[in-house]
Amino acid sequence: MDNDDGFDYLFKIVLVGDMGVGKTCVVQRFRSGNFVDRQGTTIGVDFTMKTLNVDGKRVKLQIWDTGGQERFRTITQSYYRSANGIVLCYDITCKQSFGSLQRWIDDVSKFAAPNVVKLLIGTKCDLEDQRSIETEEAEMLQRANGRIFFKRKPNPNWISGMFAMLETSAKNDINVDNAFLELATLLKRQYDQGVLEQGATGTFQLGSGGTTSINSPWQRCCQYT
Amino acid sequence: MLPYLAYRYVKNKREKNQRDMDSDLDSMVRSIVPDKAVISIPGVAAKLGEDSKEYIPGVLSILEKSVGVFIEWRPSEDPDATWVMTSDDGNAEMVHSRSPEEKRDRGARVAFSMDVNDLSSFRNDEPKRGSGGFPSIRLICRDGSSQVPLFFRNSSTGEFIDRLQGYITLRRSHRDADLVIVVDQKSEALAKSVSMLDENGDILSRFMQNPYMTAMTGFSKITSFVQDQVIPSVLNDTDAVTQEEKIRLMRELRLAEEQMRVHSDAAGEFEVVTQLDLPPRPEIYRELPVSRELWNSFKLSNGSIDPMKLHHLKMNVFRGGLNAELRKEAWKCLLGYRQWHESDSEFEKRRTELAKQYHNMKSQWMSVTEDQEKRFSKFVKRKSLVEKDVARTDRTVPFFQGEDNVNLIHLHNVLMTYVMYNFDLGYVQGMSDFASPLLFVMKDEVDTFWCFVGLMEMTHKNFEKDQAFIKLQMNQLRDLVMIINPKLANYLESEKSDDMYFCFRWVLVWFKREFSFLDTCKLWEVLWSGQPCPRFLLLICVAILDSQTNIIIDNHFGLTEILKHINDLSMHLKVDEILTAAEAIFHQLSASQNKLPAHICQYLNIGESAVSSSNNSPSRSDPDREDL
Repeated sequence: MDNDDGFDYLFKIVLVGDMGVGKTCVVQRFRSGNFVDRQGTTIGVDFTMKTLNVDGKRVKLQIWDTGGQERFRTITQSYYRSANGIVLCYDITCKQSFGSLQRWIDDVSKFAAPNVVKLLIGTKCDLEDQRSIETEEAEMLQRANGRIFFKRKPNPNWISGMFAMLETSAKNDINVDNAFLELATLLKRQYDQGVLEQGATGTFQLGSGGTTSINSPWQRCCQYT
Repeated sequence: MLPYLAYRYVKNKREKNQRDMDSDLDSMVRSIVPDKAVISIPGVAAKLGEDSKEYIPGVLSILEKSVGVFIEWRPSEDPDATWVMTSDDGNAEMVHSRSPEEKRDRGARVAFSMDVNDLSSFRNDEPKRGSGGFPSIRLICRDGSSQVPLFFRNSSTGEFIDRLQGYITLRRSHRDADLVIVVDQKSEALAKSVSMLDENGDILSRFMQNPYMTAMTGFSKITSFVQDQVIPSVLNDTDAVTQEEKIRLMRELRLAEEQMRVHSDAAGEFEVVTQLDLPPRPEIYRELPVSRELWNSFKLSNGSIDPMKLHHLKMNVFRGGLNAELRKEAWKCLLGYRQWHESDSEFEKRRTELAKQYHNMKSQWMSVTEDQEKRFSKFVKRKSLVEKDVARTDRTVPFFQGEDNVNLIHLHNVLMTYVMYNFDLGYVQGMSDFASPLLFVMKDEVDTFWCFVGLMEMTHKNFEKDQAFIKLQMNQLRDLVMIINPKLANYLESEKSDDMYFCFRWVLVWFKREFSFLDTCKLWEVLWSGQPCPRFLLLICVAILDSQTNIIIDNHFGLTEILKHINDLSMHLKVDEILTAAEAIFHQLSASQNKLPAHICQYLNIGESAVSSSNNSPSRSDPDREDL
């Protein structure tokens, strides 16, 4: 794993969600640290790379940004079928984008690997006065999709679903780096354990790393009190 | 300790499996050892886009850091550094038009720092002798992405390349002298040992004569095997094989292949791969844009276009595009808003009628109340899509810049009215890309709307729910690449990229995202001329792909790298070069029409099945135009 290419792990992460929720802004903020407003719509797919340091290892993320309109998905899916992580995005000021999440979840379960790690993010949390989705609503959705029980003989196995939810703002730089860091951390741990178990049993199984509860001190933005 | 040595030290430790120490060592070394600049070249300017004349001055360096060796480019730190524009003759001009913030912002956007190990290759273009231009380098990374082109204003690129060689092995591509490839030490060693075995290169011809091969045809696609494995190995072979021998080998290979194809065709188990000897590409020049004077010379006294001269006029538009000031008039005709045969007075009369229709449809959506919207979800959905996209369409173009720009309202109105005009199709992403240049040229809502209706007649199939038309075009594109550049076609197939989906953006919005706003206008009017064939768009795709063949293959790009490379071509393509290449390809195909598969002749409308379109006056009901 140790190589000259400047990284120890490489994970593929895909952002999905309705058009206009701000997927590209989130990716741009993460990649360059800047907020670029009013970029053109994403047509098709594109990806950017960024390397993070997780537990002293270099984790390279290949982050796929996708056009949100549903009809183009058959064309673009072929590029990110092998994703390790999915970031489901909705806009906290747009009820419809939240309502669409179930469709995106179904879609992901159709084309992505069953052990793909999912993170739910609410975007534009700086627009508190326009909020139409309460944090609790999203948390409920996350918990409902949080763990999927797979019965596998001889040992039943927990497989991670949507492991966390957090609200972000690309504009005010809230939680964007955190989101990717937590995702990278989870993927790395999952991979480490997967490799270990693979060595032990000869078959690839997802380790308990997939459902490790994450109690990291995420910055809770837009607290509703 | 020198930084690079420190890095090697850490790496060696790692290799001894002292993994736990890695992070400690890394951070220890990082904190103790400062970065060392091996070379720092000032006066290296980044070019933002192909048609942009702006260069951002900066410094290119190679840095030894504790974590590795990095190539970095940073914009010049001097806050007063002037922006340099060069005119075509290479003379430098100074520009002061941008604010310091804007300069910083632009510079920061293209600044980069990359590990030398992430470098896959670079293009090293030398200016034409006497052109006064500057040598340039464009770095291409392993993930397929490219950095902005860097122009060396004060020095040659030699010293930079020499220094780079201290860390990585470089060699020029055999096929493209401007392409320098980073050699993977391991595969190079392998290639060398193979070439020693294969001293005279005749292992290949023996291979071809081996009867075992014939046995293989039954269960494998031999053509693609030969082209993927054998031909590249011939081409990539080191100097052990002379040029002549390579050519001889290639010829033998092709002959052998030909025989196999015939053989297996008979057996019916073989996928026939069309491979033609095409005539050489003719040299094509672009002509001057059509002037108002020339345009008027095609008119009759009543203002309509002389039907006898219509084809000639379209060819002129195809060859040179239009003068910017003529677009407002000419686009109406090219888009079928005004019929070619319509006189000035006839058109004015119809235009008044169409304006009335426009205002009718506009008032339909404008009068929907908030209360109505509660029970009109399909409408609300479309409306919110339009609003979201208008706010972010071409906002860097001055015409759409700034808050409360009235042009955004016009764009919104045009798209909303189109929703009422074609509610079933509604609004689909990409439509705003098509509408914005029309508004920019027409500067009038009604005219923009009806031009947009004409443009949608040509492109609406791209937006249909089933995406069948996009997929059809992708298949046709693959067929064409197969004929024009079988080596690339086979490479794409071997990398599972032969669905051509990496060209999706090109085809969906007709290169709107690949060229600057003004170059897009130029490209589109050429396409709207309908000359020299329908689907000329696909030949443009082929021309661009053809020009990228060596970069794609020599870098061994896979599925994702190909996509990234193609995406990163955006704003760095030369519209005139591409148009002439595409036209040359058309002539190649046209000259070989009797050898082309029938379906290709059909959708390019060449050969016996061709219908002369010169006398047709294109109108919105003309089916040919839909398939443009």
